[in-house]
Amino acid sequence: MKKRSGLAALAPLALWTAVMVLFPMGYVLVLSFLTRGESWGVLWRFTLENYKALGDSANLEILWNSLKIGAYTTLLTFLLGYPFALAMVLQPRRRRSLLLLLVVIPFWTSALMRVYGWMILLRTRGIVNDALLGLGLIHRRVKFLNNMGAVLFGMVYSLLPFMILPVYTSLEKLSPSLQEAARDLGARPFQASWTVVFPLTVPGVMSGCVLVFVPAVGMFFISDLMGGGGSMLLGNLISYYFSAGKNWPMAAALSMLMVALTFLSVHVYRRYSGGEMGVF
Amino acid sequence: MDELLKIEGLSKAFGETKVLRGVSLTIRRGEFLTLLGPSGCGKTTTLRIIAGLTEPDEGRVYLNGADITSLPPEKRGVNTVFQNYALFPHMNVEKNIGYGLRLRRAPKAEIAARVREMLALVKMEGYEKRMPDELSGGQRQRVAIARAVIQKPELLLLDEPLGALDLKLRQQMQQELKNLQKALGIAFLYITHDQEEALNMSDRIAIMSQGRFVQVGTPEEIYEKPASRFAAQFIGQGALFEGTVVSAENGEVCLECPEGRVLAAAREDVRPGEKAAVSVHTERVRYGREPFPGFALEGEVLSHRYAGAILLTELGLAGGRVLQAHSAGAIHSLPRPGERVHIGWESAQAAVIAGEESER
Repeated sequence: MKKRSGLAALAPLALWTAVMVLFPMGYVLVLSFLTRGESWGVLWRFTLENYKALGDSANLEILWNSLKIGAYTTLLTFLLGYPFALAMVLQPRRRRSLLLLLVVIPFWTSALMRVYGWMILLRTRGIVNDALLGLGLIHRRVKFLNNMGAVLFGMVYSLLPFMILPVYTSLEKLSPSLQEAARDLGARPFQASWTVVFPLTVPGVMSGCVLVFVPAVGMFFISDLMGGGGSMLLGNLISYYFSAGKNWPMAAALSMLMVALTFLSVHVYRRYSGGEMGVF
Repeated sequence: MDELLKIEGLSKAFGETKVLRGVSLTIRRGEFLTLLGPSGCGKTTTLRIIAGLTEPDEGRVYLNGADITSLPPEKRGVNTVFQNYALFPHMNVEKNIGYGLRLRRAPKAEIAARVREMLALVKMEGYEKRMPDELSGGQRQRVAIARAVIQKPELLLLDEPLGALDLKLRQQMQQELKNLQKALGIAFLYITHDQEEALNMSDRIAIMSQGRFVQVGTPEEIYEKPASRFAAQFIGQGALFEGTVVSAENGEVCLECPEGRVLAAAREDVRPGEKAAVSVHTERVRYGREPFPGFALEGEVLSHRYAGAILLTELGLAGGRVLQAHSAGAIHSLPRPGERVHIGWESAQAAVIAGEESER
């Protein structure tokens, strides 16, 4: 009786999963084994060519660049986000909620708009260059945009909240008496943080890493806009094949590669966080 | 005197709230001293200042004569058993207990030996590999004690360590803690709001109220000779009679109060004509059909209530006050509800408290 009502309660979830996840995924999966149409669309002819093409050196290089950007972004968001989350937790309760709000507010505007905003600020004839020139800090205008650094900056900027929030949550859950107990038993402040606080926030850090790494590998508009389209990432490649490249099956195969990457990082996350706390 | 720790004039305020108002106290080597008081009286703050976890606004802390007021907690040589145990959830029992030794980079063999010794001391052998969330409250408690005691502190601070346990376990742990303290020969500074716990375990008790020590003394002194109305009402079950002293002679004071006339053991600072109060514990109140010499206190039996080991009798006094007493013997031989009775007690078993009611 109890079991059955439990299953009934799962029905909406199952429906949602089917409609929103399984159906589109299945569609993309099927697509990835088909042949591209002459000018547009697909032909119903089974092929493994798309997957074989993943191994082309051009594609591998793009994959490698994407993974690198993803890894750098994850590392940088961690290095910036962990201290920030730690500082937040140490604030009095009222200021904490204010800071939390400040972290979340950017989500109220579209990420695309915010990236355009940065482009306006960072343009060679933009405000930042004007200001630096005016202050005499630079003598020639700096080309901030259209390079890998700009892409990385955009990624870190967009994804930082996804690192801060889970880390903050795991830090906030810790009882302050744990650190006090460590101090009481002879740990210096840094030792107490390193041996007690940090290990207990690893699940939060891992959540943050997955939440940052996966989108960083796939996001295409940041490298399009801030990288000036010169730097192709996995996401750009997919978007290219779906649109201008008119090769849907290839795009689908690349998408499946992304899905595989995502599963891999979630698996790693599960492995090293004990599968509890955090988001998954 | 063999003094271990001395606190002098400690004051602390959190924002507008004054939690400590200049408290001073000495803890002797090897003694079991309890800070007893209602929640919010400042006892935990006192302990945290001694541990180095809270900084006092004013006052000093001395350990073995050395000023440790500004030393960080890791350099103090006192250890704490926290109220919620604060076991490290990512370490098993063994790792928790050995934490302090690992920080000091003690040799592995020594750590293992000392941890085993501690596990035996708190009767937790065989639990080395358990994680804290696989332990019961009582077991966590033992691990927390072992983790602190392995540091060989001269003073162990315990912040309501039994607060989260059920009654039966609490009573058992009281005895065990007391035995442990004797076996280790170190001083315990113990915090509780449970007066029975304090009376059972302590060599001395310091009663706290509103950021001050109200009375410091042995359990017997505290119980028999409360120094203030607060102490009298906080310790044991009893009643207070407010009135004016009419005589103080032959080791007895006589107090005239609205309810009648009562006696108590004399005190030097209580003289005829002054305001005072008499405190008597419930189990010492007697009543009967004959008057008690020196007393002029009458009442009406309201009810007898069966309470297991004792029979609790309620007596209605003049002015509507209700006084509780213990009754012995068969219920049918006792004065029935509605009967008028005389009330009294051994004067030596009641205490007098000097001064007006408003002082505390």
